Amino acid sequence: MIGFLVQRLIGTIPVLLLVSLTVFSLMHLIPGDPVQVMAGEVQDPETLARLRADLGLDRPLYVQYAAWLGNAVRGDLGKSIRTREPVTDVVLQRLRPTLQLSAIAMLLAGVVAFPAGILSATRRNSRIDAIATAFALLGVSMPNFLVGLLLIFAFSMKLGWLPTSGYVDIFADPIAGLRSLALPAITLGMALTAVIMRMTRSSLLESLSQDYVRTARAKGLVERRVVIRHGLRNALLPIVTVVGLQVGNLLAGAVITEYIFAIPGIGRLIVDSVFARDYPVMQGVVLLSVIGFIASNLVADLLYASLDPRIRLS
Amino acid sequence: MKARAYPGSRIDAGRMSRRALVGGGLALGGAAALSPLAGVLGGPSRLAAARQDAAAPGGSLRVGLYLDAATMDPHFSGSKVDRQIYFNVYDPLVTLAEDLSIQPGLAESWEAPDPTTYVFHLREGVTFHDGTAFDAAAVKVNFDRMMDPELKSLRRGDVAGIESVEVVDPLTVTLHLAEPNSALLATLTDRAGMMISPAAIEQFGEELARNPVGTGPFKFVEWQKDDSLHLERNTDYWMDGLPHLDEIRYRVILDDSVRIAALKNHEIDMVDYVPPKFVADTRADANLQTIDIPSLAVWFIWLNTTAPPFDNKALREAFASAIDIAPIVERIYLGIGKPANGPISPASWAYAKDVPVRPRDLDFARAKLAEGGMPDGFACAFKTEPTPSNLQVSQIVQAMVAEVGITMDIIQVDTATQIADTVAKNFEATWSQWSGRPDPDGNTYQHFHVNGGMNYGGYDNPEVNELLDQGRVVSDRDERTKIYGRVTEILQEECPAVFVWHPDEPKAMATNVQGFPPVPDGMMRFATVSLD
Amino acid sequence: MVLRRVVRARLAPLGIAICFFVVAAALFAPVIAPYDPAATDIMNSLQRPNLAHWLGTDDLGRDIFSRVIFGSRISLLVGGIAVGAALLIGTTIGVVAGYFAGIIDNIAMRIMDSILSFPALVLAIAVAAVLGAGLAAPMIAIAVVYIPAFARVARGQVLSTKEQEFVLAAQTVGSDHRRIMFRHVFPNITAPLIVQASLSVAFAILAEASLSFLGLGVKPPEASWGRMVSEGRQYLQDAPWLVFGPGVAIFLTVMGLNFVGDALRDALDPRLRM
Repeated sequence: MIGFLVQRLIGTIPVLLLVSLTVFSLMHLIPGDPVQVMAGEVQDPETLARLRADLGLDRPLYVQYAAWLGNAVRGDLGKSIRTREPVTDVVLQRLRPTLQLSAIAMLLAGVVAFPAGILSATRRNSRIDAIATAFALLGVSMPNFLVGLLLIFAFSMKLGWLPTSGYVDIFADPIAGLRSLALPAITLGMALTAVIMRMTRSSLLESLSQDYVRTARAKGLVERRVVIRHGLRNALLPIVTVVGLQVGNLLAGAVITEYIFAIPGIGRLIVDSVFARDYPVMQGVVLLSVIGFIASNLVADLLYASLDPRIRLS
Repeated sequence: MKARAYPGSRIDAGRMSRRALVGGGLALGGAAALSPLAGVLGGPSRLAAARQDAAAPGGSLRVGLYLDAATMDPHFSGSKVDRQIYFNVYDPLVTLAEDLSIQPGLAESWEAPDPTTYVFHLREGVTFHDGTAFDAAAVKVNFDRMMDPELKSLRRGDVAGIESVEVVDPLTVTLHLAEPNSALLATLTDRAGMMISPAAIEQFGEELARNPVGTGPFKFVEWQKDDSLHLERNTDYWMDGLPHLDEIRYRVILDDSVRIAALKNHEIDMVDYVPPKFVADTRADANLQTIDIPSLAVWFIWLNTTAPPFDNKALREAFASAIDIAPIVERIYLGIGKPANGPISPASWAYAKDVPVRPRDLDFARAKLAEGGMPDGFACAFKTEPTPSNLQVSQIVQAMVAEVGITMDIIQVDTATQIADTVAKNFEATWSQWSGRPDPDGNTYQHFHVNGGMNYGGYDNPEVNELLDQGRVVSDRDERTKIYGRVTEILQEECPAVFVWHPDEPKAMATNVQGFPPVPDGMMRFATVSLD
Repeated sequence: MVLRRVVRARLAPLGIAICFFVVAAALFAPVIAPYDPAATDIMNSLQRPNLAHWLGTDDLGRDIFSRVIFGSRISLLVGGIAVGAALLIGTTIGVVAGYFAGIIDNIAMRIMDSILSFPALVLAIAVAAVLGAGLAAPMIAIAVVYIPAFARVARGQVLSTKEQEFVLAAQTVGSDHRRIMFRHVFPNITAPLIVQASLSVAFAILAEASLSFLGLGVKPPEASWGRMVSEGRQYLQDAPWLVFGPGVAIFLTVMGLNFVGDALRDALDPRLRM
């Protein structure tokens, strides 16, 4: 187990290097200059040249990358070019809303998707199955900015139940926090719900047709017990895989959800920093997203092993 | 004197309030409009008047911004939205009134004994939010910070003409200029004239970006990046009885439709800008008042005069004559603002009233194509940031010029690329949105003078250079109006740019928001604002 | 055999019909569309659906029905080429990695991990900045994102296929690697890849919509469904038909592709999962 973890962690180092190097070169190769963006409307070439030198942006690229890497290894991710805040602070500050948003979205997806998936598998071709399938299709075929805007019009403007936008930390004020995150979480969780529901349905259907389930039924076990003990347990494996891969998609979806609902999260930070060519922030977020991806895969692997005794972590 | 709102009629609240506010503003402006160089002896008549029938102090104003501020340090600010906050935290030396006249700010009065010397008499008893006193030495510290090339202030261009700053006595400071600059006072109504506490500069250094300390009506409390910014009432503000509000809470809501939805839903009381698309919507809402504030801005198409195809004047004319400005303003910008006849907006006193908007003339355009050696038309590329309204305009222009055989390719670029390409003259035609300056010089010299710092089209016309130089030396408004009128004529004839739109910048707010001064620079000054 | 099972599945005929219509619309767009999709007429903008304009007109007075028809070309092109490229590259990587195993496998899979953890939006923005936003930006970004998915599916299939007897037999006979891979391994792994591809096209159409929202879509005046929805969102309240036409087109196409994908999956390999 510990050996497995160590091995996985060592395996992440080349991934981290590769991704950070790619992002770094990509961003420096494209046109645009953070100092020009910062200056905005009024461009005074002389001052900007001085600023550039000040920030070390006039050095050769490999020197800049080496310098960044050297500092990063020592835990110093530098300062934002745009706001001059330490990158670590910026990133950690923005992580909070996104984590809360994603957690609620996943929770919501789980709470809706599993029962719906189980129902539609056990009552195959029933009306419930049809409704669930239709919902799932709607969920995967609507662009999420459209989902977000429609929710705002319905629940904020027409019904007046929830605020249109904004972010309140859930730990600071649980009720206001939940109210402010409800619509964004539905928006973000919609596609995920649909995917989990479909996965649950199809893999449950499959495992229910296996021999051991038939054996269990033959033994005279109650149907609910058969479904949960034998069917669902075995159906969970592929679901865990899909959810693990979807975590990455959540971050991408968060960009647009955060934009629409004015949530100061990491998704927006990454887009803003790319558009502003704020290299240090960009590198910091990318580093974080790689770590997040690797961690979620690791968790999926561990869950895998605990669900299926045949799988050994080695 | 304060613009009170129309209790009663809820039907046409928007228009009523607008008339009330603009009317009040003009009357005040008229009373105070003395020569810009003479200063005003009686103090700030408008604000003094506002104080008399002030509503009971208090309340929290929630304001929606379309973008987050970048920095709280005016000397290092390049973003327009930063200024929305600065005008409540900092006071400039002189202030801009609704009619663009220059009014006293931290300087009570001023005079110009000769065209290169400005003497400012400072207000007594003003303190910064940190308790330190505002005086002539503080003014010098601020200007030195902007002028020092080592400090790389983004204000350096604004104060470039200033040679030295001299502290005469604690309440008198003199600016010595290298050459005459009629636009100086107008420049000092904005970021370049805002005074930061020298103690805070000393204490915070670079960190001033997140710790603003000014003399303004509100004090900085907290800033959650990309989320909210909180200001509270400055109880020691130098104007008695002001401000009325207890606090201001800014919130950043990027999406236009969501920001307007939040306003209609009473989650915020005011928005900094209503895009044309939503103006009819806010006007129709009985709980909102919408004020159309004319702006100094100009949106135009740069044509690169240093490279083909637009180094050919005939082809520039053909392109410009193929475009019909009026329907663009009418249908895309929904009539919120005016078709442009040149770089100077109708909000400015220097607006060229007698110069018509360049008409569409397809025969003329075809003749010019022939003259330019391209009788069947030509291909060109147009760069723009892909915002919805930019894409609307570029596609309409594309369709219009196609009628004379000009094939316009639309190239969508992000902000950083757009700036880089424009500065490097790496474009044929590109979309530009200039927010405008109170003095006509700010809308012309830098863009169209051969020595202009932002002459991205590479335009060089000896007559225009000469006129723009004159515009800086001459101080008489009538004479300057003639100069800039002539500049407008030449620019329209020669087409280094196709001028499209002078936008209005409508502000929408809840009906209980009172006393908002509609200054054409689009900034939200909350000192006199109260909640009913 | 396979085909018959596909057709027998309940929703498959519907899915096939939808896909057929979309492809037909794309192929015969100039014949079907009543107007030039780029012809602006701003004096007649934002018209409700009527007899002259079945789906109304947009903010520039263009016929929405014609734009939806022509939009099928762009959407299918973006989805098709992006997924096609990802299929080709991903499968090659997956097959090579799975077949040779060992260090090659290790390196290839680390690279796939890197791509999976790479923020795709950054890539899209970068490509758009270099080439100017247009068809290429969404296509390249989407293609890159889907490469690892195909690589993983292909690798998994290869790993199980290559232990089978006919492959082992070919190896003992001394066939070279390339021959074995193309002759024996490829045909046995196509089924799951086709399923994966049909579902990916649906996601790619949506991804293109999201990129349009961020200003990274196709070049105007060309219209993809995603761009139409993204630009029409401003008018959601007062002219919802701007979003309705392209929105329904996306919904139906994604639904059709899903039905076909599901049916293919059932028909080709009942045990196969997404």
